[in-house]
Amino acid sequence: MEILIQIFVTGLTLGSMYALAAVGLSLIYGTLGMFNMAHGMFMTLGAYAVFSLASVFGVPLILGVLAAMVAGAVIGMLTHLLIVRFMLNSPDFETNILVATAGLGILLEDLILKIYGGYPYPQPVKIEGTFSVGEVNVTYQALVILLIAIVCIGSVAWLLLKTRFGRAIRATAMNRDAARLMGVRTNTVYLQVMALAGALAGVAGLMISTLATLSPQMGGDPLLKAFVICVVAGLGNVWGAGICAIGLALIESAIGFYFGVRFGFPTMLMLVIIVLIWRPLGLFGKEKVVRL
Amino acid sequence: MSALLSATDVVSGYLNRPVLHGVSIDIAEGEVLALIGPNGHGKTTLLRTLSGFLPTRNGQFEFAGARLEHATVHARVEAGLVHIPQGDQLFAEMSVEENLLMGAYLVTDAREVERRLDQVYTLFPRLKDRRPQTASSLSGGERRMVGIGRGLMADAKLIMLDEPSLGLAPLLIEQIYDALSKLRTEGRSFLVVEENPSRLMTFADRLCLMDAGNIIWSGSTAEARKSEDILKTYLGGH
Repeated sequence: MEILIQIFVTGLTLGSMYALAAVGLSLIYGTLGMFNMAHGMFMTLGAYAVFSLASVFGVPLILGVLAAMVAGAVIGMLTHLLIVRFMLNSPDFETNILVATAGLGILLEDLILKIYGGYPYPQPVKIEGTFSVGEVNVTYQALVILLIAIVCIGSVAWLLLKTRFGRAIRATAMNRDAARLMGVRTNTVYLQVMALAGALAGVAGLMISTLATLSPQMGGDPLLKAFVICVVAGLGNVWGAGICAIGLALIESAIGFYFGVRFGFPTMLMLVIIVLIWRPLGLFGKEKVVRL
Repeated sequence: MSALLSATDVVSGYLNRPVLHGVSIDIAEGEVLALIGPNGHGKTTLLRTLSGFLPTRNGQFEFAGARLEHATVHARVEAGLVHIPQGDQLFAEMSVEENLLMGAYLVTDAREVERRLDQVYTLFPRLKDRRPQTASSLSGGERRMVGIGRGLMADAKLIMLDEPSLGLAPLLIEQIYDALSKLRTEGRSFLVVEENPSRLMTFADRLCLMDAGNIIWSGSTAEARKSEDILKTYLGGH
């Protein structure tokens, strides 16, 4: 029973972080039709922004979360304003933007390395201490990560489903031309989506850095996993991404526990291959129905 | 009647292929103007140009007293120019009600949105029963009703309809034109592209015949009835 609790707690903690990263990535893909290869660096920047702020002012967790969101949102908006909007209507947008954001990611990583160096700093903004669930010790930080993921993803879900703002985002994602005919400023929607996804990435970065350490490369692994989660869920399916993040993290955690941590991710990738053979559009992906 | 829409010498098209070669039309407030003519001769292109999807390369376009030839799609919708395109263009994974609410995207008064929603449900009672259903699960006729209903949710001074009866069963065409006629009596203006001649002759005030990107004839429906050429060639003898 303790083993199961341990696997569950680890899986849920990992899944929460993956979900924060994957939901943003999926939101961008679903709305703009682009894979943001700089998404990992959005996470890294969120973590470093909080680290810098905390080093100077000693901020509490809640302010740290807000700072990570602001940092992520700002870099998301800048990416849109300086790169994406100029490429959006180009014929090979999907390929071009993949290369452009990969380049941006490398540039930002080098900038972080230049400013902070490669030293693995610990993230000062976190909650210390543990509590027991049965025989298993659970850190308060793991609980915080879970709660923050629930609040952030719940807020995004509410925003998308229940507000006029969210309806405009979904409408733009489903049919850009029709959304424009309704009076939606689709370029503003794209900017807002980049900000929203950036904010989620910023928080994800902060949470990841509280469990490990800060490093310029820290966004690489979560980006890869978020990418895999998005593909398994079905590209652009925001809700599927959240569910798959938790599911795959639980599987990774179980495999890691029984066979060793190094087998967790490869097994996850094997499962992905099987899923994609079975359902090429992903678990929650739907074929577009074209009615004439 | 004063001119609500006035387009003069409009030139437009796709990339290096001009389709409209100096089209001029006027629509008065409360008037229904129908565009007729063979397929591929610029009717849909004219609607797309007026709604801002295609750039106006030359000419002027005035709507409700404002020059709009270089305005964004958003600015044109805000001015009251609503385009209901061919093929519905619904938001497939949204419910019927959400699709209708998107039509009132620029209306910020919640009570007004509710009032318009009731109005659409009165015009198309079938949509009220389907309100939680996703648009992708609707039949062709219901989709058309949502498309038209969504257009009515906006603050439209002029509604541009592209082939509202295309592909529909006669009974559904009847229902849709009944609804449009009700709106007409409220004083709404329409610019309609339609292939169904019998409908046009009763619904429209005036007809413009488009051929090879030009307006080659225009006149009232009464005048069209008198013109043997127009009747036989373009209106199937109606």
